[in-house]
Amino acid sequence: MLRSNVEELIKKCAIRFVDSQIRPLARKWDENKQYPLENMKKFAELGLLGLRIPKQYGGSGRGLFDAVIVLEQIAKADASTAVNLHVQLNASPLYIMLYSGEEVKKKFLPALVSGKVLFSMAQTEPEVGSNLTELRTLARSEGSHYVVNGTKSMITMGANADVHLVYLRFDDDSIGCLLLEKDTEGFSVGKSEDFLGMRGLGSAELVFQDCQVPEENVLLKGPGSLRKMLTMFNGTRVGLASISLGIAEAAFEEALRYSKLRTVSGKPLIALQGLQWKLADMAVNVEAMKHLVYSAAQDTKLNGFPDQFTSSAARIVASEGAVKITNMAMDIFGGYGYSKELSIERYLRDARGMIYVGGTTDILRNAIGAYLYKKNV
Amino acid sequence: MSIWIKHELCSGCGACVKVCPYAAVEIIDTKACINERCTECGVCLTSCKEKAILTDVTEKTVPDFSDRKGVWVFAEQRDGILNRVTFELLGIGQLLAKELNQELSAIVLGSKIDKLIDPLAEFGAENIYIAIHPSLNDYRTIAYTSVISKLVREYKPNILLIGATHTGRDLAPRLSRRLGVGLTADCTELSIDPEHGDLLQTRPAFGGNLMATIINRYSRPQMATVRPGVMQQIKGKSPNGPRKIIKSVSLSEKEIMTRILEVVKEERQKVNLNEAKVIITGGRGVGSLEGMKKLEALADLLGGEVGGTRVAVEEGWVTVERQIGQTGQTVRPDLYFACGISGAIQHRAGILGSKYIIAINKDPMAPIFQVADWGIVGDIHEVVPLLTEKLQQR
Amino acid sequence: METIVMIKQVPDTTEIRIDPSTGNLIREGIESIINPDDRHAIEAALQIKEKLGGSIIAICMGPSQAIDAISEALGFGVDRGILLTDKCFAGADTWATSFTLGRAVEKINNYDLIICGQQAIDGDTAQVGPQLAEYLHIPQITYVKGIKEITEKKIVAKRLVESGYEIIGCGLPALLTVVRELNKTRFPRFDWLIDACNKRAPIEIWNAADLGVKAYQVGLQGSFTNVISTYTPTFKRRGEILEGDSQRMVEDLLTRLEENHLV
Repeated sequence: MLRSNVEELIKKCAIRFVDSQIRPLARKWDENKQYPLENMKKFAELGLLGLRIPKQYGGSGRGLFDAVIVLEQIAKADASTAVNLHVQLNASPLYIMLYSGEEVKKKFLPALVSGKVLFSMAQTEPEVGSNLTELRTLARSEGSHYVVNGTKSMITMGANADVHLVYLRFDDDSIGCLLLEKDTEGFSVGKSEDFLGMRGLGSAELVFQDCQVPEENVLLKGPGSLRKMLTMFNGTRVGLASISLGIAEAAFEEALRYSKLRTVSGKPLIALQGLQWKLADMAVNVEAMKHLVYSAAQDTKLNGFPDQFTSSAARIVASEGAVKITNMAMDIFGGYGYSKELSIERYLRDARGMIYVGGTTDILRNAIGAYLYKKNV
Repeated sequence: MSIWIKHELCSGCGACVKVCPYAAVEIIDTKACINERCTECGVCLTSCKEKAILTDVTEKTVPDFSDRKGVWVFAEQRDGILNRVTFELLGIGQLLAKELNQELSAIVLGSKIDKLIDPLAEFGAENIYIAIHPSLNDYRTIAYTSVISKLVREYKPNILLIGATHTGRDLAPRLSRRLGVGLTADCTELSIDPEHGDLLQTRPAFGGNLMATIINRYSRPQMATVRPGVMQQIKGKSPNGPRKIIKSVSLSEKEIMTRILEVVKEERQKVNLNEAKVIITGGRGVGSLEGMKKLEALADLLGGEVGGTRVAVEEGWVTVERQIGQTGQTVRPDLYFACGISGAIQHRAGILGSKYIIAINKDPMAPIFQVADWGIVGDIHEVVPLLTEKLQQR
Repeated sequence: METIVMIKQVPDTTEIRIDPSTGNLIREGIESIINPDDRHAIEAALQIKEKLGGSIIAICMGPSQAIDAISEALGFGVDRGILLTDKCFAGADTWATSFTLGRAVEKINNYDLIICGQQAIDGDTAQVGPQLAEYLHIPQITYVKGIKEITEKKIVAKRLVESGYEIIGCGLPALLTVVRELNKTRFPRFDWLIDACNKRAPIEIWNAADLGVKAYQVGLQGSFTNVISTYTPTFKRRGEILEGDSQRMVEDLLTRLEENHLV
């Protein structure tokens, strides 16, 4: 039976959408430090928010690889929008799918698919950063509900999400997570961040003061929770890696195009061997990033999630590679690349930001180091 | 034409069943049989070792068209005024007719057409086929198709040319299907093949990236629509005056099927810059909104659009959706005027697909001249109005 | 209201570039897309369905990879897709194409309206729509830039002409060819695109036998016109700087524009 290839088809259609609806506005969002909420409405209309949500909740039931294909294309135009979507596709709703009761699923998953509810994922804290084992936000059990106190910082979509997935410590000293709705009494959004790049993230501080959360909103608590959360991170890491990949591809493609248009002494830049080598290095790097990200995205050996090493490798190579590629692209553009009139400087700022979004790449090296230390040789 | 199986020779091996792409061969009682799904594609013919599959399918041949004579031109009129393209068709028609040593004729349809005869003759029509009927006053697809197809069937012309206007592009395909003949759209060159006397029809494809020459060997008349504004008008009165052939018409509203409820005159809406054939773009040298007005006047005259560089947009001389260049729109018009534009790389990159680029700038060292077909070193405030004025005079 | 939309898969010609050394078209990496005007045809059909109910069938003739055009149409909300694909359909001119499409419409049998894009960006002929209408003996309205009124029985449309527009009415069934001004197209939904790739998706593949046509009636064999040669036009920049005073330069420029049929 002749049918289209799903991945190729959604890639093609994502490119068309991005070229027409996202790329032309990306610079404006960046300049105004504007969280592009209109995009989320469009994503809902396109049935994209339900990409990974099971069919019985109105989604398409697809996997991480499809999400990666879409995010990569969006990131080629606007990395912030891609991260915001990534949180909806690969992060918070997956916890609900896997760990909540049926009532909570019915309440939130169809609402996400239709764009009525958007999520954040609140991990980082001002004192302890992203280190899960040291979290200080606390949930205290009080009969049929929990009372949450603490502060989260630099939370993507913090200012705009309807429901926050909050990582915290329970009063039994276990690490876990729960869902906190934005209209909960005692919840407030603190200062918003003024970042160098990734300016459309809507990144903000979240403050919880005696917030009451019903018991059914608790997703993970008690022994084994930390392991489940770490497995989930293996997936989110690959989503983030695909966004860095997208930034790198955009910078490379623009540099390549420019090198053919711009002439010096009557010859295009690309005729110069020095620049040919530079472009060749960029092409090779992008190719390597792409293969690593795609293979991690298709790896499902941990109950549908990639393993820690593969996903960390993909994230380190892609995020750090993107910084390298955007820098090289700027060199090819010379002074024009440094100008805000073109997108190269934005790609560079965004690529730099992607080193930190979702935890620094150096933290991943710790994890890989620990893994190597334990591994039999 | 058909394909059949000689059952005496068939061994029932089934080789033909396997190769048939349409499941049109079945084995029934040990013999292969062809069913109604057969498309006569002939794939099975070589598969049969017993040579039991037979066909009378022959190579397509070119019919004898020696009785087809004459070059016909459809004279398009609206409100009793002939469309310019009619004279252009007569121009090329004269050349083709001369080459073929055949006569040039025009067909004109309408309710009142007396005033149209002389101009048609003046531009070379030797015969004028005329159909007059109240239902032919305004162009309507089926009415015109019906009348012209009858004329063509009766007089058997060799070539029929129609302008590639909105009317022509509505009429020609409908007519070609009714006549059972091929049609080539939007030609920009027409000539006669010296060997066979066929009409060689050349037209752009792939958005003008490719030119294709097309031939219509298998049917007559050879029909083509011709792009307006391309062919030359040639005056050429026939010495005996035109021969008028008046055709009686019977038409009913029922068979015409469509009704024109209203005709609304309207200035052309602003079009997408991507589709504009002519673009006049202003840069820093435009200096002011008034400066831009001069460019707009030229654009109006040429049926084109105005655009602006980033500077012109930022100064508010043109709106942002008209920004041209790498950060704005990439355009590929036939004719691009860069007025008061130095030609930064970002701008040049956005216009390289233009067929012809004309640069007007005070600074002879401006890089825009490097990518121009024709350059004028001068002040746009003087040159552009002068150009507009001289164009109007022509 | 049963609507049929005719779509064509075309190379994205805005992306086509010429190889500067050989002068050949660079086709590598050129995406195949649904012809832009045909997207407006799909949009028109969707809007009519939203108003009057009924269903939409998209028909595309092309090689097997044109399945993507059908899938995308389903992504927009088209109910059913039919891909006409067969080796012997290849090389068809507009005559053979309109015949093949006509047979497909006859096989569907039940329809009120056929909508086509005004023209395709690869061939730019604008011929298949009217030829199909003639084949089916139904009225046509070309260059449709607005639909004033549509019911189960009739349509009143604005037809773009050089000097403005005409308002034309006719009964159904009818065929429209639409221009870009008609509407603003939407984007396909990802969930529906994904569904369209499923083997249970409402997509049918028809070949010559399914249409009951003979090989010599379709494709290159069934065509009256043949392309005998092609060439790439060159747009080498002349780089000519005109001389003299303003009057002289403007005159010279006009002469050159006229010589090249540009004004």
